[in-house]
Formats: sequence, structure tokens, C-alpha cells
Amino acid sequence: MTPLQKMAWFNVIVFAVALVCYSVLAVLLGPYPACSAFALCAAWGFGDRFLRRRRGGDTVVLDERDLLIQRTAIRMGFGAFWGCFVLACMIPWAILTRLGSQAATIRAEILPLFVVGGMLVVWMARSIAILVLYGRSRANEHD
Amino acid sequence: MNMTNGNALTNQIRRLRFDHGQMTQEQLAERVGVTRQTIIALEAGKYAPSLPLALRIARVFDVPVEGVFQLEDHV
Repeated sequence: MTPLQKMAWFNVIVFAVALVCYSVLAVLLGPYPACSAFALCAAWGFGDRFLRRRRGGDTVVLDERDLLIQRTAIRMGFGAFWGCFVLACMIPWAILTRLGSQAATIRAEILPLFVVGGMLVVWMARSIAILVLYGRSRANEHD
Repeated sequence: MNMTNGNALTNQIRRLRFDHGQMTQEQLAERVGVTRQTIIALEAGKYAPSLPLALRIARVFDVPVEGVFQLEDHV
């Protein structure tokens, strides 16, 4: 497994733990306060440790193929974000318009959630894309 | 098989490794400055290398780039 794959798995596991915590807190405290569970995703910052060169080691950690996969995954992450952002804006608008509530407003508290949600989408889509792209080019590992 | 503008890029890396004293993928990876996974992907035809990497691989085997990589005309 490459360091980039390890980092992606780490991100996916952290997100899964945050999702479980959110589910538990949502039952206990309600859906809005439970969003604090996603603060666990701050642990993603430690994911960079997988990409660091070992002390004294001169083996290559990331090469041109890894960087290409990383760039593609970042593009896919932002593409996923844009898709989710468009849906998050258009679906409420379409529903409210159909219901005839054109004067409906959205609470300002939702706006920071858009930012956090956007970050979660970018990061998760990027991690999943990394795993998929490596999986697609996997071959028999033998000499 | 890696496709480049409708052409299939094939390579002889695996054969050249064995012709050069059964060189392992790890040894080749170290000599050209990439990870072993990239050598595996190259041999499987699932990754088209950059020109500098192709040149470094050819230099290790002491053959021209065309001796390592071939562009098949017919797909």
C-alpha cells in the first residue's frame, strides 16, 4: 500500500468514526448540536504524517504517478463539491417554488454548515477517488 | 494496456529486468527514483511514464527508449 493510500484510508476511517459519533449525538442532543461530532475530522491533519519521508531513509515516498493520482483526486473532490453545492442550492429552491413559498428564507446558521459540509465533501471525495484510482491500476505484485 | 491517442503503449521492462541479472522491481524502482508500485503499473501497461522517467529506465538498461517502450499502431 502506498503512503497516499494509507492517508486516504485514514481519512475514510476518521470520517466513519465521526459519522457514528454524529448518529449517537443526534439521538441524544438533536441533529444540529450533533454536527460538532464532525470536529473529529480535524484529525485529518495528521494524515500528512503518512507522506513524510522516514528519518534517514532515502526511499521515494511519492513519485510522478502518485502525484498524478493526487492531482486527479483533488480535481474529482472539487467536482463532487460543486455537484453537491449546486444540488444543495437548487433542490430547496425547486421544492419551495413548487410549494408556492417563494418568500421562504434560509437561516443564516446554515451558511457555516455549507462551508464545513463543502470541506467534508472535498476531502472525502478526494480520499475515495485516491482509493479508486489506485484500485483501478492495481496489478499482480510480484517480481 | 495504456492508450495514448488511440495507440497502445507497450513495454519490455519485465524482459529487460530479467536480462539484466534478474533485477527486481524494487532495485529498478530505486535506480530510477520511483516506487515499486509504479514499476508494477508500468509493467502491467496501466501507466504511461513521463519522458524523463522513460529516459531514466532506458538508461538503466543501456538501450534506446524505443527498446523499452513501443507505440503499437493498431489497436
